Amino acid sequence: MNHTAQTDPAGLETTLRAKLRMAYFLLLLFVIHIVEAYITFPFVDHTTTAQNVIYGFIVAAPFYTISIVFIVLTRRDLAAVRKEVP
Amino acid sequence: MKLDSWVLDVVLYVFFLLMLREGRLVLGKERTSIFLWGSILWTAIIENAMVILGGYDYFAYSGYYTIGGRTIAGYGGWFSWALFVPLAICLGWFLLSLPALLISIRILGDRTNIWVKAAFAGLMLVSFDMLLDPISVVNEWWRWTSPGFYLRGVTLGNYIGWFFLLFFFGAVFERTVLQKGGFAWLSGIEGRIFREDTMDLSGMETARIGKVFYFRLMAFLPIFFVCCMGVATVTLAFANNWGPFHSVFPNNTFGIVGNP
Repeated sequence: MNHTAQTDPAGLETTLRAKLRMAYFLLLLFVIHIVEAYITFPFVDHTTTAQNVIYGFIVAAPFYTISIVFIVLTRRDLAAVRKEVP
Repeated sequence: MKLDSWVLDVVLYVFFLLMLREGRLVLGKERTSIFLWGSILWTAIIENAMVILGGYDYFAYSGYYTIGGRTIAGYGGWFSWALFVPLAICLGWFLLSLPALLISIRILGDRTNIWVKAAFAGLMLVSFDMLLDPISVVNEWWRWTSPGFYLRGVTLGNYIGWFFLLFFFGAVFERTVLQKGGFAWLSGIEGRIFREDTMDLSGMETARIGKVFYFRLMAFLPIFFVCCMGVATVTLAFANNWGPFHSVFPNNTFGIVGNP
């Protein structure tokens, strides 16, 4: 698959699971920051923290979209590896 | 509600440990260590240079660190700082850049140019930072003290810097540590330093590859600064703020230009 990949199915499954967890952690980090944006002060040029949240979802869209695409691809890789393992 | 900087510290340290664990499973212990030490070296030099130049300061950490409203003098001591920069910031960059690079490599594949993959990862990180930095600014974890085009209290130069940080680091890491290749423009000087052909590192021990990687990071450092300063200078033409704060650090180069 790439330079980070292993060749044996068991090792590959471990690697893919770790990659999957990494992506979930990224999404969790995003959620934590959205919560922080909501409970803290309004950003500069904002009047409410609800604006912070909307702003956060807009500007971080590439970040969480790419993370979700990666999760989908990795889950597909994982399913393919599981089929290979007897 | 004010969020004290320890909130950020706790989040960054916890996620750093989680990403380090997963990184070791994906890349192996040695290659993850190289990425980690490279991250600390790379970000500590760049962040310290920017703080010393007066681009921004770590206000909440600079003797203003509070827990529950109480100021904690000399928080953490020097062990939690990389000179003028909180260590959590360097580790925070590691925990974001490692998965961003791995995601970029997976999505774009092996046949895509390393610079395209690094740019993709860099843009992903900028997208996340556009949420993180305004939170930091309103809580004064760090403050921008330099002139520039400001968006939600954060200078555009910050996002340019974030992009180039991973753009150069990611490309050098992939070419050196993952592909075990080299850069033609560095091969001459590397040949003299490492006394072997560094265009193909496949026969080299991982620890030695790490040394080549650190050397290449240092070689790309001036290029990083030229790119950042060049693009950031262009944005000065559209400056809408001459620096909202005075730096709490004594040396404030940007103060000569801004902060009237």
